[in-house]
Amino acid sequence: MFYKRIIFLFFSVLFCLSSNAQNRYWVIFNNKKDVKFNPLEYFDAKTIERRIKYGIPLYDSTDYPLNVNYVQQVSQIAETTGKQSRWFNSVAVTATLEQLKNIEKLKFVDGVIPVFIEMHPAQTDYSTELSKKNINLLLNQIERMQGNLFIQNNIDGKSIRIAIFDGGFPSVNNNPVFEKIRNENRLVKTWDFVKNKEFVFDYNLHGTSVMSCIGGKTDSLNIGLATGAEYFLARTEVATEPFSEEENWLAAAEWADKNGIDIINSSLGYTFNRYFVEQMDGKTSLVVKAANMAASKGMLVVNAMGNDGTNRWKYVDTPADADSVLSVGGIDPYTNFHAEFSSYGPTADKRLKPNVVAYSTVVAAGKSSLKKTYGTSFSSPLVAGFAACAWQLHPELSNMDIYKAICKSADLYPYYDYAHGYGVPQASYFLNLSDSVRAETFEFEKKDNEINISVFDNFLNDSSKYEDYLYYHIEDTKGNLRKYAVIKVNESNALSIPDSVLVKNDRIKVHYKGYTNSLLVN
Amino acid sequence: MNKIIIITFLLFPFFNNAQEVLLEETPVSDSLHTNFGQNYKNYGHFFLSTGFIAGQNNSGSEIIYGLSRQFNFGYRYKRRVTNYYALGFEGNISNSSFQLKQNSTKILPNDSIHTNERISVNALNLEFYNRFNFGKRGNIIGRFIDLGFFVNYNYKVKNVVKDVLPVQNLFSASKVKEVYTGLNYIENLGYGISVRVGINRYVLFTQYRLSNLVANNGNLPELPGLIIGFQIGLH
Repeated sequence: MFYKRIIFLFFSVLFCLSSNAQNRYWVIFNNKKDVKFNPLEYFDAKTIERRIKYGIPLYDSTDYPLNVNYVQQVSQIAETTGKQSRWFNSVAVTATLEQLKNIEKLKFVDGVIPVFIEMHPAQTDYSTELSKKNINLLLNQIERMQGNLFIQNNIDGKSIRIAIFDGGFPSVNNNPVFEKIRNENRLVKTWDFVKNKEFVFDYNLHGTSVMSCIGGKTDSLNIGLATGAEYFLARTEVATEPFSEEENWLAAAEWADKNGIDIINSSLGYTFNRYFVEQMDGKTSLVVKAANMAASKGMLVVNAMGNDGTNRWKYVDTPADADSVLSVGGIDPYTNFHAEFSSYGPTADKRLKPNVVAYSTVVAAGKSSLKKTYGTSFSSPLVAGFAACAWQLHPELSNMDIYKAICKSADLYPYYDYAHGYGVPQASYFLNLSDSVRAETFEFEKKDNEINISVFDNFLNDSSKYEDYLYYHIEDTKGNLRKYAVIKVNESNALSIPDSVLVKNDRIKVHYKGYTNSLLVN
Repeated sequence: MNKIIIITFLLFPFFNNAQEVLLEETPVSDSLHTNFGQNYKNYGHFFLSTGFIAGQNNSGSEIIYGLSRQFNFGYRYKRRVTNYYALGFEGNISNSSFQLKQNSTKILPNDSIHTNERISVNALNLEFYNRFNFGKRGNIIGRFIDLGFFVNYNYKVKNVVKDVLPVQNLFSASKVKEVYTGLNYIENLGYGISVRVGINRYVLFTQYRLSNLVANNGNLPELPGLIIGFQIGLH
């Protein structure tokens, strides 16, 4: 009997495996005939205001609802219907292959594509109680972005609407870290796109920690910078049903647009489970298309780079690969350069990612206390909070203007590389306090068989805010980096690059203590 | 030329005048395009497995289920044909231990009754298999079913018997272990079929020996040929 039981178990597992096969699809319609759309009824006033302000049309066919008859006809054939997407004129269905064939025969159906995105919060773990050391960390995660300049000038993201897409928000409804937001009724809306209900204050703690890094505050200390912003929380992550998450992310983005959201923070990344690294090209995954669409509607999408820097995957996740998404990598607060787990750029089509970086070891809200935690999941909300403050200061700027300004404000700009992007955004840029001309800190010297870079003695081991780090890269004629590095400078003769490693028309770009210069190789 | 550049880049840190290199990346050599990976053209990995011998008992060679087990260690290669189909082969080394029931009907290898007794077979196995994958996926193994055919060579077989003596023997021993090798009633070669179902590194497998393990020229009963077990891919 023993072996019969084992055989039964074996085939039971086999059955479960095969019965779990793919049966969820997007049905895409080819038109939106006979639908009625009144943007004044559909959109929040804030959305209307933004669209008028930035010249984004109010009557855009991508915002029209789906034809109800089409959805009805599809629902009569499919087993179930799920989320609808106005942007992509499609409805998600669960259907057998036979049902799918019948759906495809409908005249108004343009095609069907399988739903296949799996999400994982880009998190590692939560640990340790808050200590004196962690209080310093908390102060520095703000100050590294010069966040105190915003705080001193009462810039707190007021009137900016931020949507957070995540796996759950336990304790946000009673945690003292969010008390100010709750008391001022700035926790405006919530929606659980997994269970289709309003309550989101449960499930994965990740969203709570992320939110605290955008706008959390203790009695006296900021955890994030946007403590005056308005918040919209969307639960999009599902632990047990990975195939419906694509619908959730897209539906949440449309919900965000409808509600006049200015900034979306998505500390979520999709990598090897569903994609190949060469597909991180900013146009392959559906979620990247949705993120780009959200940007085209005037929202700033901020996304974590991912935590695969030391893994085989190594590179950017999606939708951080989108050209319209502000992708945020992580630096280590204790070394002040790239955190080894932070995913690298470029994208598969060689575009620069990350765009900027922030601390990836932070103090954030746990369920009932502050905790030290790790991951680019927390770099992204730090920058999202920063972006809210920058936008409050410059409401005349569009989402892409803010995107570019944040890149320009970063402390390495115009230097960049695929580990740090343009560096850490700096508040002084938005308050017009940054130095317009940076003092020269090094010089190039051409020798017979090499190019030398020498730093000036008065900058070596000085007491300035800068580390003794010299960043350099070698870029080809297309602007793609062939090499980049960070070195700690111990003597004035900092670096020698032999001619043998250079190709004609390469450009060597160097950044040292706030000053960037480049040299074209002849 | 490219090779020269890459080699020079590798030597690059030595030109940095004793400065401390904190981070160094050469994207040109970190090609995003590869042929090797869990769902790329070629992939190979080591694996460990353990299984229970679970086939039908024959009178005279009954085994004790649960204690009769097999352990494997091997390397598996997969060549992707499409996203849903792959071909491959594996080589592994295995140890199968048949714990024999000590009852009155026992005749394998003889009718002597011991405290416990096992026949241990060490084998080299070579298997060719077809892999069918399910569901869309990225660069992961994913969900699959393998159907394979294997051949094996039993390079070492032994019969181990243990007895607890009622009284101590001449050497003051109360337990005796005897190992018999060179068993001419065990075949050297064999073949069979296998099925595996798995999700990423976790695999359930079953294999069935189609050939005889016990030589049929001595009228000895056959040992069970079915094995069911669990495997873990080391990747």
